[in-house]
Amino acid sequence: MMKKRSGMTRRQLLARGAAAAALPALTRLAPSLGLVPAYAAAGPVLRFGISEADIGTADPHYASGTQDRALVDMIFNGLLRYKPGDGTVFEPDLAAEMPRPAVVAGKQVWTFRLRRGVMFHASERVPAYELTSDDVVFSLQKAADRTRSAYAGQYTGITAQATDRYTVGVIVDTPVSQNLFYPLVSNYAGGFIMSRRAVETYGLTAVKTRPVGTGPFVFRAYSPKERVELAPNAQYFRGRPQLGGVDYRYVADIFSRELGLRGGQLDTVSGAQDEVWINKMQAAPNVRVDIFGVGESTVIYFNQNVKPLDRAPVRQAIAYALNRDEFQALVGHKAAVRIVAPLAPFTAGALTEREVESRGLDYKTDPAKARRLLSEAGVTNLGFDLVTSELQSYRIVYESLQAQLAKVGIQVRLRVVDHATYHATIRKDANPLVVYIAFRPNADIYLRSFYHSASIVVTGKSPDTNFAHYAAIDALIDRARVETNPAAQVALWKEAQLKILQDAAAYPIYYQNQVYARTSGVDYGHPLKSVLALYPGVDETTRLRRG
Amino acid sequence: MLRYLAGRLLFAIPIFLGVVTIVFVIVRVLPGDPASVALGDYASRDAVEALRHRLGLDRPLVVQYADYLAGLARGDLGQSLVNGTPVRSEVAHSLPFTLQLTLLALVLGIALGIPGGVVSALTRNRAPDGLTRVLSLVGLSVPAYYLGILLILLFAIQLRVLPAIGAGTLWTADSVRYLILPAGTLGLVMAAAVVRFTRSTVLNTLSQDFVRTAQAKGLRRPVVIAKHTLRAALIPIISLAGVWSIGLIGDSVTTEIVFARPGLGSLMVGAMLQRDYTSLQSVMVVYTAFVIVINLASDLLYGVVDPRVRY
Repeated sequence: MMKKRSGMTRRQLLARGAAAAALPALTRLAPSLGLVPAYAAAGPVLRFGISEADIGTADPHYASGTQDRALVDMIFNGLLRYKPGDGTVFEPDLAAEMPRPAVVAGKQVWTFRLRRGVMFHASERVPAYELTSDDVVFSLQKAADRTRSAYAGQYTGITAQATDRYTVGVIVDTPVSQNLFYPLVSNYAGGFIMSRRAVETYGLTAVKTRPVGTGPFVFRAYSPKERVELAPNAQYFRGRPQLGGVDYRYVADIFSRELGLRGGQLDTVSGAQDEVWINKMQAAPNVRVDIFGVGESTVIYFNQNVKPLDRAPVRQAIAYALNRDEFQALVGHKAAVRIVAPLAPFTAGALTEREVESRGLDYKTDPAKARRLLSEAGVTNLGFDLVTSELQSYRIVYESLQAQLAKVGIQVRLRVVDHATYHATIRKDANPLVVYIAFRPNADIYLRSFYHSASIVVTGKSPDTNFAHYAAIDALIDRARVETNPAAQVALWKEAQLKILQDAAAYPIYYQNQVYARTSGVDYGHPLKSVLALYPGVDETTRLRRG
Repeated sequence: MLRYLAGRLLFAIPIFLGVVTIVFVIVRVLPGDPASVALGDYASRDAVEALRHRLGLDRPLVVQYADYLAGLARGDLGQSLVNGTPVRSEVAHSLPFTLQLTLLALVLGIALGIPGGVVSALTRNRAPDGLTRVLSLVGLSVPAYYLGILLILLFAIQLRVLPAIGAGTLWTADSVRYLILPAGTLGLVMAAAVVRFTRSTVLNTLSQDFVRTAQAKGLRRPVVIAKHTLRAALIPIISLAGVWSIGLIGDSVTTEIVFARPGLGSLMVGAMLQRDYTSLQSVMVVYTAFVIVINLASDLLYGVVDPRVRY
């Protein structure tokens, strides 16, 4: 009966029913299958693949991982900023002009006049509002508070006072040079200006994943272990960003990032700092590779707390046994630049290669001399048990160190551990020779954290990264900090480094620049020389053209 | 049946508590401190200590454990030590991605593996059998992450028909495109195991008396295969599906990393790298719950498909 009434067989009925049921699903599938054009977005969104598994924190005063520094750089501003693409030049950011110091009652006062009409981003519970001196004072106080900032140590003796709605005085108890002051109020670490209302409304924990700033991009959403979505800030004081937003994706695996870029799911990725990867990506069609500073220095520290490394001739012997060219060959010459002194050449206060070589402190490879020094010191059968991180950047250095020292009869036994364990281990003073890769924004911070006695691991007054247990240049570091004449300050830093080299407290190897790859349609909007945030810098001038 | 179920559920409680305790201790025995990892190497000892205090990491281990268990009893998985996000929301965000991936892989593995195994058994020692056995051997030998990379290179880079990484927006057509390669990777690896097991089970069943009787009665070969052989052979296959599912969950961790997909695997690896104790513990708790539930389900399913089993 049914067959007659409907005019079709049961099989036809079932088939048509199935087709009708599948139609809505197919309609939804169609755009993604390329059957119909997808709805065009308002503007191109930059899909940025960064090299970590997840956000650490978007509170700029705690941000320390590369993935967090880059993120907060897009959302927040400082009073001053490093010129985009060039970390050696400062320029006004939220401040309307560069400040000049004045001495008032023995204290140094830097007065900042704020730009007017700068708006904080709107968020769910805090509407957009104008930045005032109140937010600046709040932010600097927060940066200096050890319970609310990881960078509090750098703001000791610094206070801020609002003179009026748009003027802030930053008072430094012991006057410092602009070399040391500008980084403290620039768009890096504790220098970022946060919204007082947002921090107080959301609380310290929530702002880790709910940042509110004044920068070119506005936080929109966070998906754990996946991405942060940023929207363009239409009210940005330097003009509306040209991008339709930033899709900031956490892709921990380098190969996955590479495939994402080549497969068209990512526009920019953080790369590997080795020549093999650089060559491979430079050969890929439609891909550009950017290599730029700031570089992270790789240095071997000789732990003087371990015998016989407490004796300078033994440390010097090890230095003579090592070969910088062999180390550099591991990563190639495209991203790595050899260094012979603690401070990398781009840092104010760095020694030139000639200044080091002319004093014979570059420890040119000389195995015979190494053996002779060891013999004179009465050291035989020298050997070390070392722990290395699983990270390739560390492991290759340790493995090469092992091979090089074997040539002069020093045996190195290596144990590989994961990176967090490595950091924990070396901070417990467990490695006689410590390889450490780091960047620090200025000479004072670098020398203080690696060579000041207060920073000696475990036993220092405020233990940090002085793995060498070195304590011979405290006075030089301290004098340099309070030297307000930049030239005299640089001279003190150079003197301190020469002393480090004479004492063979450490063996600098190379610094490695940042490596990023992008599709040819990405234009960051500025030439790339050096960026403190360790990424190319994405701002209102960044453009994207998808081919 | 209900009594059996209740007994199994009761038995699951000490197993669950045991795993939770072991995980709690192990993550804390690992060197590395969440506060130090979170603050990076710039932070002073003072700042690290202040954060440790704020996170409650300076409290005695027993107190932390008691707090953790009390939270679990309330269904509260705590907050990420690194970024303060409620772990429950992290798990709720990640779980559907993993479920989507493993369920599709399971379906693919069974859909490819069972017919493959049957064909292989029915063509024993002939070309199709040889081909199937070689392919399944390759599938068993290739790690899932490596197969995933090969599939990405072929379909995403060379042919450019599917995305290499990511997950798209969950439960949309877009997400299907992102799911094909990772689920295909896991499905193929699982299919290799299913093929071999199905082949041996079918061959074993074919030599049984009841099959010989069916053939002697003059039943057509397709009927003997479909009604008598396959039905009997499916019993051990279905019971093993649980074990394969657990294997899939394990393989999904590396697959999620290779394909840069969010999911429990990514959550776990990220938490491990960041020493995020609470997130890591919670993922392990979810995995443990999965294993317990899957084992229970496969035991119950065994009773459903095999009339000889009674609870």
